[in-house]
Amino acid sequence: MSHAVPTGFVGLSHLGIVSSLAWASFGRAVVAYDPSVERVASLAAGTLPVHEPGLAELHTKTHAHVEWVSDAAKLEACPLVIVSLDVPTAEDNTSDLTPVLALIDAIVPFLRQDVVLVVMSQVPPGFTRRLRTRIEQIRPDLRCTLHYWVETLIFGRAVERALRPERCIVGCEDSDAGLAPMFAEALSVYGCPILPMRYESAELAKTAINLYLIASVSYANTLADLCEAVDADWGEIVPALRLDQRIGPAAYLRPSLGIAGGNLERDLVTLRSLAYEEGVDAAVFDGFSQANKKRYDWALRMVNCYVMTQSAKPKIAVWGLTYKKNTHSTKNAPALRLIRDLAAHAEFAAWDPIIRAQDNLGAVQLLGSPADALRGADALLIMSDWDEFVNADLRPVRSEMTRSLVIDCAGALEGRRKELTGIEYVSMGRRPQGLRPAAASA
Amino acid sequence: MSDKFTIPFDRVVVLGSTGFLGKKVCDVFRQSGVDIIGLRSKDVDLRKEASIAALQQLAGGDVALIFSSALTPDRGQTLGTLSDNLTMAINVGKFLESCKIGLCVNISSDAVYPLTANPITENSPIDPAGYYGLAKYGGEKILERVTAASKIDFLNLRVTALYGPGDPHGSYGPNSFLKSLMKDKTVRLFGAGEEKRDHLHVDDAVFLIRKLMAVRATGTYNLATGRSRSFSDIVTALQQAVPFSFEVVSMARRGPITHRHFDTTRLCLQVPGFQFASIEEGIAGYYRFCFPGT
Repeated sequence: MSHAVPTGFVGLSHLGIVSSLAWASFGRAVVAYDPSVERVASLAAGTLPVHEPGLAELHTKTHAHVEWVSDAAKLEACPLVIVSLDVPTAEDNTSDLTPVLALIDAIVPFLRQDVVLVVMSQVPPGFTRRLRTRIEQIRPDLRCTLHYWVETLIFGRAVERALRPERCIVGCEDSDAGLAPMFAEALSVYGCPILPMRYESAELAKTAINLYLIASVSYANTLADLCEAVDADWGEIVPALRLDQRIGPAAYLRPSLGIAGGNLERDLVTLRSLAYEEGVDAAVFDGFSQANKKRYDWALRMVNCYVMTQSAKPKIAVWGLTYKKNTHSTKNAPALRLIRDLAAHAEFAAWDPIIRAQDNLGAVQLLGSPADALRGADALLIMSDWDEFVNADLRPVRSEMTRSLVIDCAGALEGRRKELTGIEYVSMGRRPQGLRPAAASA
Repeated sequence: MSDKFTIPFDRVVVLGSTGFLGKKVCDVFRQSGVDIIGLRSKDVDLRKEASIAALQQLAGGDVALIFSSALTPDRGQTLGTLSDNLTMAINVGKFLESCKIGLCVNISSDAVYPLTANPITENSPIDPAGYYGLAKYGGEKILERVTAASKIDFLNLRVTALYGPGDPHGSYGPNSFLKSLMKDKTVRLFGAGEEKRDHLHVDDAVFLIRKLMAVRATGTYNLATGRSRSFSDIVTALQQAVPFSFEVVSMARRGPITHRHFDTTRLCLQVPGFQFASIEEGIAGYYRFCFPGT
């Protein structure tokens, strides 16, 4: 049995779908609203537009508690309404707040008196306080408590994070106001620390977390480059760092092709823009941004050095088109960029555990299995860290390829280095063993 | 580098055809059958207004112009050479304003960049340390604006330390080392030669120019190998190539140790897989040129 008084979730994108289902999994009634009739019908029928481990199971388990609606009037029954639409980003990773504002404008007329309205969308500092004024202009009569709840969704781990958050960061009108009792009680089910703070602090906390991660990624990538230059092994150094209490076991220390997926990039752009507007020197953000933009070049350099120098038009197998494992997202995915950049100079055959066909794939042949993609290839590029790659059968790498060369941009086979006999292996943070690059290649 | 190739232009005009790079371009392009006209300062003095009319005589059809004329730093870095170099760029600009051609290739220099800690890309900040770099950057901007206004394709090439047979300048590095080796079997190094620079063989530079022209590339490219080597590495390469021993003299350095690295990703996307001559190969060939028969 679900609690009789429903909670409204507004905006059924990735964040809204995961959050509403996770909320309902605690036995609470949910009114899940989106203005798109098609999306609502699709969700009601059990078709999920996003891939997340455990999400389908969560939908099956909780759908009886969720009423999927495209009629905003249904929100009148909800004393607690959570705006959970993801903020879309443009090509340059800037946020577009228009859809969130339009959505809020559309629901405000239907909110009941004394409603607790919670914004969960990824908004920049200053948004929530301005929103209060906007709501007052739309409905001067509405008595409403407004909160900002920091979402900490991670693509590929969204369900786990929504069910068991590490902490709840909640923005309030001022530090002393505290949480609306109804919202505080609702959050207590998580059994984690609840951190109330000013709207602006909470909004900045969200981006501050992501900026720290960006700093870690930039740090790891630069050190990995340095390891390759001086013949050190980053893989040997990382355990020493993880055992340092100031760094910690879960620190982002794995070298990669830089941040992707859109969320971290968005927050970097948001903070840069905020610092510019406020006259704060944020040259360090520029450094992160520049380092990240150039990081993709590692893949290009390796392909150029070890593949293009050997063949005029090589065939390259690609494992992984999404930007990381357990997600359907290809936003800023380096695999697609590489395929696009080298389309005139190489043939690509790809396999991905989830991507089957998509408009922006470019000049790539999408095949049905990892082995199919390897057939006749001069090199294998591993572009994301899916478990399917980490645990892949390596026999086809030896038997199906013209040359058993693996360029591992995701560290997928790092843990199996001892099994790579007969395979030329290039990865980040160490010089390839037994492989000589060309003297210098453009 | 003498293989046959084609260039998608009716004719190529090289300004500065007796310079180190200009001469090599003329030789290689001519050997390949490209219709090429090389002009020396004796033929057309770009410092004079009259040069514009002379250049206009050569226009017509799909012409590519390679502007490699310059008073190089060994001719002095003075206000006079700055003025001359800028005047040459201005006159070429005036010619381009008056005649439609297919492509203008500007041979610029890495002297436009300051010494920075990070690898240089085409987007690195510009801050020339001398009048030569300042003139080169001025020339780039003049030609960039003129070609944009005249709708002429513009390819701007910032060339790093060039070396190889035919070098007339003897700048510090492979060129001065070979020169002094020929003179008195001595190589003179600042300090222990720790500084790293990106040394580009002139044959590779010509090959890249032809490749970029072949694909009608436009915009700015750094012509560099992407792999910097120390001056002491060059001496080692020389010791391996030379069948006799020679003296290495260490001179007091004039400033702190500095390095210069290039990130050649942009170039790499235009000429993927291109393999530059290693410094060892380049030095060995250069030695054989300087000491034929050894």
